[in-house]
Amino acid sequence: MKREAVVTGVGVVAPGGIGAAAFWDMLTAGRTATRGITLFDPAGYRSRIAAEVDFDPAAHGLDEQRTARMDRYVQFAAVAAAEALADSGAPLAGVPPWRVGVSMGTAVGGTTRLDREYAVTSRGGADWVVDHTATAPHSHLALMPSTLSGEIAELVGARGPVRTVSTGCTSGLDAVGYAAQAVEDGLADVVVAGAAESPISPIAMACFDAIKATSDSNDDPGRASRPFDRHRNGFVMGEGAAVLVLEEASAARRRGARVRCRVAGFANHGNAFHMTGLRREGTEMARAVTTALDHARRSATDVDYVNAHGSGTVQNDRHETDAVKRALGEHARRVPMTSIKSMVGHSLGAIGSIELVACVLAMDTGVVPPTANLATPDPECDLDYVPVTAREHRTDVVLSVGSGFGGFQSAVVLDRGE
Amino acid sequence: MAESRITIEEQVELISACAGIRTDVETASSQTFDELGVDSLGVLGIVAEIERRTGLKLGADAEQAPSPAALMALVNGDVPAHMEGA
Amino acid sequence: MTMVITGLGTVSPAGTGTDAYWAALVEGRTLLTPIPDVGARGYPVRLGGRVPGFDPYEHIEGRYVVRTDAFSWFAMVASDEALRDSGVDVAADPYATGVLICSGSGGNEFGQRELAALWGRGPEFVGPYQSIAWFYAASTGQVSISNGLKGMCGVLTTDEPGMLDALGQSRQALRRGTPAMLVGGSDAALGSPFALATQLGSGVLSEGGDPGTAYAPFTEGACGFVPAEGAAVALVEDAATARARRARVRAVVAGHASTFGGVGAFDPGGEGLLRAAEEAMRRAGVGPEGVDVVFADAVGLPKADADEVAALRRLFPDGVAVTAPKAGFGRAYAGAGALDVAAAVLSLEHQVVPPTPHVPDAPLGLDLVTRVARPARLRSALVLSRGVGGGNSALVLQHPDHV
Repeated sequence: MKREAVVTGVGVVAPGGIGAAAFWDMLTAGRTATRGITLFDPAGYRSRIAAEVDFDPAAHGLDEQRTARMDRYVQFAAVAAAEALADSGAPLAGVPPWRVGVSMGTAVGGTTRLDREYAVTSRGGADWVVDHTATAPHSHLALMPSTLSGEIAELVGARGPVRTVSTGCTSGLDAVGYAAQAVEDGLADVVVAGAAESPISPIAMACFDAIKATSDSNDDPGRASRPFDRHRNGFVMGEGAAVLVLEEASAARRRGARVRCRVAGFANHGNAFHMTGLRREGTEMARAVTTALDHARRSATDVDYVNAHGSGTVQNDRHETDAVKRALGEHARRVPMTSIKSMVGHSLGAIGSIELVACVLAMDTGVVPPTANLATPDPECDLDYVPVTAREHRTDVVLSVGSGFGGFQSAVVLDRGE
Repeated sequence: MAESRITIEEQVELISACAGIRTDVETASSQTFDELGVDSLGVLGIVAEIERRTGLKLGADAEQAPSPAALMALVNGDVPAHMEGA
Repeated sequence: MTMVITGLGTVSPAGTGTDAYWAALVEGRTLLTPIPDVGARGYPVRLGGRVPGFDPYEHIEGRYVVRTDAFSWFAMVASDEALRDSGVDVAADPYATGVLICSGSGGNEFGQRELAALWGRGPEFVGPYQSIAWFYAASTGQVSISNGLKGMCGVLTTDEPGMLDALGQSRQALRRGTPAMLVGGSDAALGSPFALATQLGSGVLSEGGDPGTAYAPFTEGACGFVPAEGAAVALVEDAATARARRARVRAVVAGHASTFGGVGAFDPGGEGLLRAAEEAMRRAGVGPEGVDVVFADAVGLPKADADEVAALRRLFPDGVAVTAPKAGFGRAYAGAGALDVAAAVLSLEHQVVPPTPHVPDAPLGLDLVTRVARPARLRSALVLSRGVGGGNSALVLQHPDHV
């Protein structure tokens, strides 16, 4: 029989909401978590706003010994993974550790630690050959993106295939897509999948300042992230993590797990055009959607809800609107399509997984979260973006799309199985 | 005080240093950034470097300048630009 | 589905191209040189395997050079060679070829320059290319863009085993409708003193100053590995596709598996490495008698080496030829597994096992190929790799005539 991957547990650490319940309350209330940056002094930066997580590792059981080699984003992931496993029941009971995998995404990895280490060892940027005696213990491990998935593997006791996926801003979708493939192809029976990011640090903020991709609505942070709105002016940086427990469907049913949904289809394509630029037509994203729907054996008209990339840059929102129209045809106008980045910001590699958790919760509750701050739609963005207020809407088939630097276009389809 | 004018020769140099494209005065004077192969990120880098050299704050108009000639006109005051801190 | 390699490219401490790489491997040449500047500052690690005399402008268009780090240059040059070698017409269908280039720690030298601008001068001095040069996906993105490849695109950051895992991932892509993948691993951390400095506390890098003894795995003098830089890229496709276009099959990718052994530990006890190898061989359908050579991980730390030897003895009770050509040029992080895969392909092709440089005599109970290359009948090669992040991977490659 064909193997399928189902989601049996979710966990999330998001700005404005740690834990799935708080996260969902916030999204469905349409609250925004964007604010002036507190994690470092942003004076002199073009964009001085972000969606930050109020996070105390100790309150989540992470002691100093644990956190010494974990950058902030790994700590987020650890908390999200613990929640996802608890939510799932006991997915690992009776499963040999060799059959348990981890697939975690991040776009930029340990930037919080990177800035701190660099500033100290280089004497504020003065020395090219930095002072190696000033490095912190564990700095190498804390800076390597591979340790994201490694730390989660240690936490859950996984000894199967353990990967960090790093396709920029589609990492969070791709990590879950790869995990589903690993289950389908029999490489693992359970995969703890998700993504994490903590890019609210000087170097990451500065590099998006330099290309003016982030919003400079510094005086009105709560309304700065405005996907699809005529007055949008870039994305607002976010941070966080989300984890989903994926299991082989028949095993999950055998153990009586609550099956939340199936990861039915996934695809990623390069646009082979530009590292940051997008062609308006959205052909490659549309192709990813079509491929993912084909894998799910679903047609365009089956889609009940589209979770948009919706970053709030002028080019993204138009590109994506056209891509979804291209892929779903007339049905695109009938299906709600929302961007939760309006509330939790854009946490680069993490956001794809955070959005997938939102999709699972939308299926669970029959509610789709709104696109906050959408007051005056861009006339070029003419789909149903569910402005401001959440909507009751039964969802059985979800499409979540993402777009990232490098030209990557990803699509994931979740459904209730066949 | 920084020199607040730029020349076409300087632009040729900046196009090479910031965008990695070798060109000459005649080509740079007559072609658009697009024709030269300089993309939006390349223009951002060129504008940022001109801002550093001249002390001018050029802003979005400069970043959307279609050609080295248009950018030069903007910097050299044929179109209003604001002096930083002035 | 049978997955085959039809194109190969390398940038290594032997220079640019697989010919130069193979020539150095067969001779067991020493390619370790002092890392500039850091010795004067008292860094305990002084030797590295640098790619010699690499001028990106000789190989890559200027507009790409200014916006990319060396790790992407290496990936792009190796990709060009692999594509040329494969003879595949990528323009016929842009969606038919995907890209998956593994990275270890991203664009280090480029990133350090921008960090210096930020911390030394201010945020407005960070240039527009930092956002696309520094992150781990830069190489996959630029290889996709510069060659017009719109198939499945991915990036794994699983350290040294990256290429092995990328080949495993490619099988998943090929099964799902991307008929060909350009896969590789690339790293260039040596250009950044900051990147090197952060690793010095990890205790895995050799502090030896003599290129002849600094990296001598499986010996009593083993004291860590010498870091290196480089890339290898392979074009893989379904055997049927390759046959249909009459491509030269360079090797068959017969089986891959990976396990996890603990962060920063190189799989204590070797159980994870053993398990990965057994599983890869099972998936390839070969038993111990079918494997003719092992390209060892050869970390060069006594405990990790002993664990690997123990795993090899359990896998091959009757012995097997083992080699670690990387002892001659170092361990290139995400390029390490990739260069080993390239070495294994070349070895199968030439029916010659290259030696393990700097190891004068095989240790007791291990048929380590030392001193000179050994001609042999090679049907299958097993490549082993452990990553600093905790992954253990194994890959079985086969000569096309012996499948």
